[in-house]
Amino acid sequence: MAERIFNEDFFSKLNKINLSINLKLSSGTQGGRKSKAKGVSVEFSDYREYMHGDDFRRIDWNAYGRFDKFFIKVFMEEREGIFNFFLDTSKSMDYGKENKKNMALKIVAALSYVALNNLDRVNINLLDSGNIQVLKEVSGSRAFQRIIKDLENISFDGTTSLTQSIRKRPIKNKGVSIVVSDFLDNLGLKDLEEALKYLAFKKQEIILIQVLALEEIKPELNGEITLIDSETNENIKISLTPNLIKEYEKTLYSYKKSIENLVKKYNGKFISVNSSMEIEEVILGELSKKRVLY
Amino acid sequence: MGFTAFWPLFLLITIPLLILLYILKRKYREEVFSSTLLWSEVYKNTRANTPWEKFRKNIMLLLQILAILALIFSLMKPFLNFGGKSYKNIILVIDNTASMNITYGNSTRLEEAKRLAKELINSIKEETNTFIISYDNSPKILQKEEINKDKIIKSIESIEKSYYQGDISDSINFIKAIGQSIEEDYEVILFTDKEISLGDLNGTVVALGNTGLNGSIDNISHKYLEDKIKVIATVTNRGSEAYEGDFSLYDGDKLIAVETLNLNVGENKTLTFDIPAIDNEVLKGELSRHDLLEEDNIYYHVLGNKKLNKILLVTEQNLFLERALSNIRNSEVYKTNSLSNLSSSDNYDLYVFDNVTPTTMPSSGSILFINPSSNEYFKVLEGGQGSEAKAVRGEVSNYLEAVTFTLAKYNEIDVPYYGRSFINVDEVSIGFKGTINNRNIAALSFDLHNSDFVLKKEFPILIYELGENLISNGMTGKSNYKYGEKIIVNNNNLNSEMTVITPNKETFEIKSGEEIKGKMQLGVYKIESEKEKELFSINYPSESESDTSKGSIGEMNNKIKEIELKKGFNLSPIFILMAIGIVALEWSMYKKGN
Repeated sequence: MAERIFNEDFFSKLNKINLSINLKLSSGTQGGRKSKAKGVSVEFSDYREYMHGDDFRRIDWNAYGRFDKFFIKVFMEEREGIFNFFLDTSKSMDYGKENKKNMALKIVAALSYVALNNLDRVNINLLDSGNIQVLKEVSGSRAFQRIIKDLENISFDGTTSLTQSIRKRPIKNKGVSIVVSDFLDNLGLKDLEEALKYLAFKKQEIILIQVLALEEIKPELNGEITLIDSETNENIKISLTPNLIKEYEKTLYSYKKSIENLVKKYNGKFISVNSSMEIEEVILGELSKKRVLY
Repeated sequence: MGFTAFWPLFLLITIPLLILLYILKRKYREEVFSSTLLWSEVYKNTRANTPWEKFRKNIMLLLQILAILALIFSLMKPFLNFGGKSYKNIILVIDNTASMNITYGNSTRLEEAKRLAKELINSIKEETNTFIISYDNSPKILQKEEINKDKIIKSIESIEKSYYQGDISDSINFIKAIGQSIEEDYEVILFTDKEISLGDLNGTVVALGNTGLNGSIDNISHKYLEDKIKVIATVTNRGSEAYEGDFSLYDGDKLIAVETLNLNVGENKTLTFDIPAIDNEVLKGELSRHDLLEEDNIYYHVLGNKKLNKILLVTEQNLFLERALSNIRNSEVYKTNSLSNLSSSDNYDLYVFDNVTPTTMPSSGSILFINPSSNEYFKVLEGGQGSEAKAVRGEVSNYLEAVTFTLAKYNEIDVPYYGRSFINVDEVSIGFKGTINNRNIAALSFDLHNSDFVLKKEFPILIYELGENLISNGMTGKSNYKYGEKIIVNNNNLNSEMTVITPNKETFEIKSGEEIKGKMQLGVYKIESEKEKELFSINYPSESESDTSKGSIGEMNNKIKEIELKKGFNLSPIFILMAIGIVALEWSMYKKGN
């Protein structure tokens, strides 16, 4: 490896990121996160009138003394969030001058860091050729070093088959599922939808993060070219003209649009990032824009 | 539509080469891409509109092929036939007199005429009867009623340059005669640089006159004075602009004089040089300045030893004799009717005594006696009457061997030891010639009035031959000729052969009395017989064939004629424009990135 992905620079950036964000949480067991839901905790939130079925142990007798009515103290519930990362480790992710896999790993690491700092639980799943490899589920800020170590040792090989892989992952609890991939799945959008359906069924908030290399966004190819697919070795003979490149860019745009529309159906979010971007730009910029972080 | 030239067709070979280049170029470079998912999408989309897309792929190639084709077409000089009547018979007349050697553009007027003629031939309809006539100083038919264009073009190409002087107007009647023999409509196309009017002939004149700088040496002559030689050269500016240059005079190869010339248009200048002595037999004049016609910049003058011969005829009213003598080359005839007009200081080359015999003979010169009495050279005896005279074979030329004539009265000559008889009556000599003390003596011993000889065509021939024999005139009549002048070689010995050496050192044999014919060269010729050697020069006829002062000497403007000649509208520029347009289109498409 020419350069360590998780270097000093990365960590200083991580701190900066952590200071400026709050992950939105919707579900999970008790953790270090203030939930919108009200529940049992030490932090007072509000009063409300006693209703039939409430735990009468929680009646505030002092209030009853003053108002002659049963009131119940409502506390902010703190829950533990579960973050499921699905990282595409196919060959196509190992591409680009600014390598896509580096960006993907950085995104996973950064978001994990943020999550762990919030006392959330982090699951990292590696998707590879229709299989799934689950790294050990971790929680607690100390676990971060372990995640980093594991992430550094991932090899990017094989083909993309997101749905097949994701469906192999049993999910028990509500949580956030973040899929990091280029979504250049030869099986197409229909197949992707199956995966989204599955995640939605498992009550997951879906976030798709697409990582593309600059070479894929603006190909600088011309002339008579045989394009060889890095995963399947399929090839296409094509004589590239600027018009054809434009056609490609159009196709890419509409492909991204259709993924976005698809994920919207399942109340998810789609973010496309460029591997040559800086990590804080991705986390603070792109993800905030889509209100994944706030 | 027709084409003028077909050679550019071989350029078609560039098209397969171009295609081959494209095929070779279409080697697909391999490039690994993360995923071909989107590319196959793009590929599907582009393949959806296949025929057009396929075409678009190769449109650059197609455009290049089109550009090449347009260029080839333009080189083939296509033309559209419209307007103008085309005739079934065409008479092409090409002037190849000396002036057609004048530079015209990059070639000569003659070459230009041939080129235009070939273009014309290529553009006329098949099955057109074509006559090709060249004119130097006389019209020559090179091709008659020919329809095979290859043959016609070959005969056009066979027309060679000449240095004859001639006016092509002389050929009009000849052309008319040919035209009449066709008995159909015909068109005459005449290529010339001279002024000509076709009169009622149906045709066009292609005027090839062009203007420019041209100086010419018209003549060089010399005169022996007491202690020097005076050389006179005549130089003329025949061009359309002022002439500045040098005239150099060479004695053989040695430069002996140079004079700077400043001549206005049309100005003629006589240059005089006094030269103490000349070593060589030939003087050469040269104009150093390069101009439209090089041939008239050099003039060879052979000094020779010829002078004008003076003949004194002493007769009482013999017109026949006088006429016959005047034919002798290079001579002047003086006439007197009385011996009393003779003096001892007279210095004639030939004395002719008709019916008189002087008592004191002239001190020098040859003598021809007609009906003499006995004198110091020979004896005259009493002859006879009413007889027939015959020439002696071998003593006269072929032209005279068959001559017979009747004599009413004659005397007999006692042929002296130095003489030989050439006319006899029976065995009796009535005419002889001979040489004594370096003097040529001849005699006819009858009164011309007493015979019918003077009425015969052989009479002037005999007198001519006698005259030539009696006065030495050299082998050629004069030393300096203009090209095209008749050169007859004469030798006293009738049957001897002479060798002619051309300026290019080629040799050929010629007999006495024959004319030097065939393709001549400009320069100095040498002629050799057993005893003698002689030089003579042939020079360019600059007086009539060097004019470059008038542009279109003919009736019409060259340019217009050229287009009309091709029998149609010239499409070359259109094809060139097309080629440029295609290249521009290709450029813009390339810029757009197709």
